[in-house]
Amino acid sequence: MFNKKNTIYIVSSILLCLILLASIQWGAVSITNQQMTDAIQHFFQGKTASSIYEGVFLQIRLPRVLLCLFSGAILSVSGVFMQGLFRNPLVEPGIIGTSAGAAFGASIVFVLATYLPIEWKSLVGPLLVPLFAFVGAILATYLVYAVSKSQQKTNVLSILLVGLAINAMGLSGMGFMTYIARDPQARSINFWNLGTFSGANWQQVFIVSILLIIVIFSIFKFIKPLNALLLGEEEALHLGVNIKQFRRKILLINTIMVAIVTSFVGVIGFVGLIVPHIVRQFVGSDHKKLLPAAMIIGAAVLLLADLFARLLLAPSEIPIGIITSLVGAPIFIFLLKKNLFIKSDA
Amino acid sequence: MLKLQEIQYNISGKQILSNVNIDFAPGQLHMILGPNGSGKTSLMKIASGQIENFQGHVSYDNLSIKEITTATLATYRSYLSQQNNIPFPIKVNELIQMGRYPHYEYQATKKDYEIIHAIIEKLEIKHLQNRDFNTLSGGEQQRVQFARVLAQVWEQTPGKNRYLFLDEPLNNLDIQYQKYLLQTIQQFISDDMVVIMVVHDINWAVAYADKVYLIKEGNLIAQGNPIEIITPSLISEVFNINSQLINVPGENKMVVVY
Repeated sequence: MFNKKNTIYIVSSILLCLILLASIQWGAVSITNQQMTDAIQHFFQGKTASSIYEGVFLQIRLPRVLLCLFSGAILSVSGVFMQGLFRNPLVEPGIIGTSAGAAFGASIVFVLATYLPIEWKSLVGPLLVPLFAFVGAILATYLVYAVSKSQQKTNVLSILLVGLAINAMGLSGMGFMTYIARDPQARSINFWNLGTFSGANWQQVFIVSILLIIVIFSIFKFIKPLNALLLGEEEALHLGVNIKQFRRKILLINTIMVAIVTSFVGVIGFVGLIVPHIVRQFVGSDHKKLLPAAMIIGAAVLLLADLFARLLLAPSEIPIGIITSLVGAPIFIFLLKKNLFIKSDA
Repeated sequence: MLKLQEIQYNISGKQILSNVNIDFAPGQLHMILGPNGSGKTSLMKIASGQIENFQGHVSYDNLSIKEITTATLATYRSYLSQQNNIPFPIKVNELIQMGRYPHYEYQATKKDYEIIHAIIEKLEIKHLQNRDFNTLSGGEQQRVQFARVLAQVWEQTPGKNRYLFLDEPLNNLDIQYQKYLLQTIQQFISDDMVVIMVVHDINWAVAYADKVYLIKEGNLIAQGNPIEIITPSLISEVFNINSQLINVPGENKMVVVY
C-alpha cells in the first residue's frame, strides 16, 4: 500500500525514472522516443544503426547515463558505509586516502604521457589513467591501513587521522605533477580532478554494474553491524559483531568501490557526503532503510548533476565535480544548521 | 557459572588488576564496588570478553572464553556500558530492537517483537518508543539502553546460563528509578541468570546484592554476602572514610552512614 514508510522509495524511484529519461534524451544532441525505440529494435535485430542519432544513443548517451546511475548509487552507499564505520557524519568515501591516491596516480600518467612512444598514446585515456588511478587508490588506502595498524591497537580514529595525512600527501604529489606539467596536461589533471562522465563506454558500464551487484549483496550483511555501530564499537562487540573482521571487510569493499568509480570518472566530491545526510532526514539512521534509499537518491542526484554539467554550457561540458560541490555545499550547510538547532534544543 | 581465575591485567606497564579470582554464581546479583580508577570497569570488560589481552582464565559454563565466538557469546551475554553519545538520529524502538540482533539473521521474528513489546511495557517506556534517542534526558536514555540489554538476554538458552553486565546502570537516574531498576533486576534474576553490576552507592549494595566485591588498586580486597562482610573497617580500608553501620528500627535492614 501507499503508506508513509514507502513513500520516500516510491517518490524517489519515480523521480529517478524521470531524470533517467531526461538524461537519455537531453544533451548536445537530443534524442526522441522514436529514435530510442528504433535503436533498441535495430540492436536486437542485429541491424546497424540507421541514423547518427541511434549511434549517439547506443554508443555515447546510454553508457554515460548508466555509468552515472551506477556510480551515483555506489558513491552514496560508500558514504553511508564510511560514515557508519567511523560513526562520524563528516566522513566521505575517499577520506582514507583513496581519492587522493587515485588523483596522484592519474596525474602521473598525464605528465608522463608526453614521453610515451606514439603507439601508446591512444591508450592513455581509456586504459592508463584508470589503471594508475586504481593502483594509486589501492596503494594509498593500504598505506593508511598499514600505518594505523602498526600502533598497538587499531582504532577508527587513527585510521581517519592517518587517512587525512596520506590524503594531504597524495594531493601535494598531484600538485607537484601539475606544477611540472605543461599547460594542456595540467588542464587534463585539473579536469580529471573535478570528474567527468564524458569518456563513458560499455566496458566501464559492465565492470561497474558487476561491482554494484556485489555491493547490493554485501549490503545485506552490513545492515546489522552498521546499526550496532551507531551505539559505539564496544556496544557492537557486545551485540555479537566481530569488529576487527567487519572493519577489514567494509574497508576492503569500500576501497574497491571508490577506486573503480574514481578511476573511470575522476574525483567526484560531495555526493558521498551529502546524499547520506539528505536521506537520513527522511528515513532516519536504520541502515535497512538508509542504504536502499541512499542508492536510489544517490543515483538520481548524480544523474541530475551530470545533466546540468552537459546542458548549462552546451555544447561544451562543465566538469561534474563543479556542479556537485556548488549545489552540494549549500545543501550541506543548510542541513548542518538545521541539525545544530535540533541538538541545541535537547 | 562465570569463573575468573588469576586475572592479571596491565596497560603499558601499569598494573590495573592483579591476581583476581572470582566465581560468579547464577541466580545471584553481584555488585562490584571500589574507588574511581580501582579497576572495576576493566574487570567487567575482561569478564565480558571485551578486553582480550589479559593474563589468566575466564570461562563461561566451563568453556574458556577464547573458544566462544563473539556472535555466540552475544546470544547469552549482554553488557550495558556507561553513557555513550550516538552521532546520528535514531528512534528508541529501533535501538531496543538491536538487543535482538544476535538472535536473528536478517528479519526480526514475531517472537522478537513480542519480547521488545513486553520489555517496553515492563520498563514503562512506551511513551518514549517513537522518540529520537538523542532528544531524551540522560535518565530516559539510561532506561532505554537498559531495555536493549535486557532484550538481548530475555529468554533462557538451553544448556547455558545468561549473563547481564551493568556498568554503573544507576547513573543519571533519580532515586525512584534507581530503586525501580534494582527491583526489576531482582525480579528478572532466575536460576540461570548471572547479573554483575558496578555501583557507587554502598547502601544499594547492602540492600540488594547477594554478593559484593570490593576492589582497591587492582586487588580484590573482600568478597561475600554484604551483610556479613561490610564493616566500618573494610569501608575505611577501601574508600578511606569513616563510617557507621546502623540498623533500621523495626526492619531487618542496615544502612551505612558516612
